[in-house]
Amino acid sequence: MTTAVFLVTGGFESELLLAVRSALGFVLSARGIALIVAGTLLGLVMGILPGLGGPVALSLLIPLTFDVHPLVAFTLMAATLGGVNFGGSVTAIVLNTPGTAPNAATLFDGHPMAKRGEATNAIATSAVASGIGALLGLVLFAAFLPFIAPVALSFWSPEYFWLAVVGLATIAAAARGSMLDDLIAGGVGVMLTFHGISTVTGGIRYTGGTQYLQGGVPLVPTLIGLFAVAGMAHIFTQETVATSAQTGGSRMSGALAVADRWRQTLRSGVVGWFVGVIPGVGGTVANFVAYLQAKRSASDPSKFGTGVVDGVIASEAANDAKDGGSLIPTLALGIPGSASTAVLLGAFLLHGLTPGPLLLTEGLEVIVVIVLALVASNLLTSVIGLVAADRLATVTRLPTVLVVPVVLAISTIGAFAVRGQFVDVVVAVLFGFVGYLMLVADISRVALIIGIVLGGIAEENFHRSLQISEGSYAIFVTRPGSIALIVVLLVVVSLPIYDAFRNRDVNADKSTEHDRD
Amino acid sequence: MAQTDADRSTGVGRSALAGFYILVAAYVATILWFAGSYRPDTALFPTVVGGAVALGICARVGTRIVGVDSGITDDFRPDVTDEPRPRMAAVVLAWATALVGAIAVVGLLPATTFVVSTFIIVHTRDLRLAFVGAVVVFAVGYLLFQLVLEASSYGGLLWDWIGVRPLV
Repeated sequence: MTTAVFLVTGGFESELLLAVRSALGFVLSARGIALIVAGTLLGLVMGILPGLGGPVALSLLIPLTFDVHPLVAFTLMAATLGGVNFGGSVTAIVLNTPGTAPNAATLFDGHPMAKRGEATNAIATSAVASGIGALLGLVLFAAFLPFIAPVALSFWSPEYFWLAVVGLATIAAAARGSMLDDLIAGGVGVMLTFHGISTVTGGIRYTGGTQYLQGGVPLVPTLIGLFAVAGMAHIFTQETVATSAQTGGSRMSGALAVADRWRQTLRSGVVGWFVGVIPGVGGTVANFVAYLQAKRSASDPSKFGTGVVDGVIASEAANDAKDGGSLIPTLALGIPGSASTAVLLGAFLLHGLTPGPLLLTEGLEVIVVIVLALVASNLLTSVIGLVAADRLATVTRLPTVLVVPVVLAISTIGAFAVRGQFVDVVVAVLFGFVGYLMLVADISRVALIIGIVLGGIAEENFHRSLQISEGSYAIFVTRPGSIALIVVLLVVVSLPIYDAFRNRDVNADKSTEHDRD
Repeated sequence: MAQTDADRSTGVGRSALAGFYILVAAYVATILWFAGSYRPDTALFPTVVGGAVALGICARVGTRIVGVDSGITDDFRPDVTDEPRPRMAAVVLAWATALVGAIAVVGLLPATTFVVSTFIIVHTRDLRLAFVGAVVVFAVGYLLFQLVLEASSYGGLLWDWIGVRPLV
């Protein structure tokens, strides 16, 4: 009833205006600007160095920011995310290796441009396309939020439960390797939330009689182990991150190329945004989808892959626009849209903010700050990319023999700093072992994080719903919101089955053709 | 027949998969075992989720026996920047384990600084690079974490045994 009155009187719009005013005041202050610059530079470096990227950067930032005000923490993290996206494209262009997974499609045309002596063009193009894509993505997010907000605000415990289940089910839909492996990883993540004191039933579970586990399996050391420690074990396969950087070309030509192709830039940005909205899928897929769309609509598709600037524009505009899209399921629904936002969700929990519909009332200012920090960071990376395009690639010359131990050491310091417990350091290294196994076996670590983030929410709201309904399970299937989410769940679950049947038909056709030959 | 890189890569992947599932199976068994000793409402989710994961593991083992594709492919996997090199990874994980032991003995900052510089010297013999690494770690650990963020540090058992309070 209170929520309905809130909506009818336009309460959300006025709350949003207040939040925007307050967030602008923080972001434009000296501290806000310093945080954005620091986060952007950190994100740039983390994005440029292959094997690091958004999830590692955020998992290292979490212990640095756990004890500060949420506005400070999320300004820094959002700015880092903004920097990572562009940083990864530099490595893709210069080294033919994506700095981060979402930059993978950039190398198809970016690296051939570099081999032709146009690396500076490509990096400048990437810088401008990234900036425009990010701005477009955030404008679309701001435009759609007032429509999603009323729906999200009407959610109650049964809807939160189904929302968490839908989020867990997206693991199946988003699986790149074996779906079963990823689902099992998600299940393990849910099981990790069973340790400790249950907030709803009050029971103590799986503590082994120790006080350490009464608060549950700690999230920060788990994140650090899975991403930072495991990532370092994996990148120690090469002596240096780079050989000599190949630079050359014109910054202005690269920037003007985006202006000449503004329709393609906007189209790719919109494609990236919509793909980013799909929970669990966004990050790696957005740049490929936009690239393929640009190739299909080109007058001469055969040129794609030989070093056409349209390929770089499509991939980078989509890659940055997807962040605005993935903010919708992440912030408004509590379902992560990408690997980085999955880690970001963990950060929300640490700061006592419940991701999802509640955030629209409890943390609207934080949401606006994240959006503003992303905008500022992306503008800053565009400027840095244009000015320092030829110097950025030299960061990749850092030897891994320096990067690996330093990151490991900072990881252990960070794991300890959050709670001041030595066992947290042990947990981080243990999860490093687990994370490495998962990385090599191609099992999604993000699925495990999704399980950790959403498992507790699902169980808590399940029991709370039963308390509200005095034990009647009908509460889960009688509310309109719940029914809508059950339909969404069925669609999400049927997607991989549909894909499997379609692939079987395609393979059957191919083998028939082969037999005929 | 000599192993190709792809074979080695897939072999390493399958070993990692097996290792992961052994760990998960042991964990699930523990969860289900102790679920029986809790109240029904407290045990509900562990039983349901643990049972589902156990079924998943059985299905996974079943697909391996039947010979269905395990899901480890040679397709481009954006999370993997190179072929897995288990010996190199084992080196890093061994150093990480040694780091934990060193922290337990001499404390957080001394251990991290010492292990970083030793790691670099062992692998490169480059004293200047080792110094750079040590300085970076000390700057981040002491200046940033302890002075700016006022995070606590860990003293280590050695100092407790000697009866001396460490400086960092």
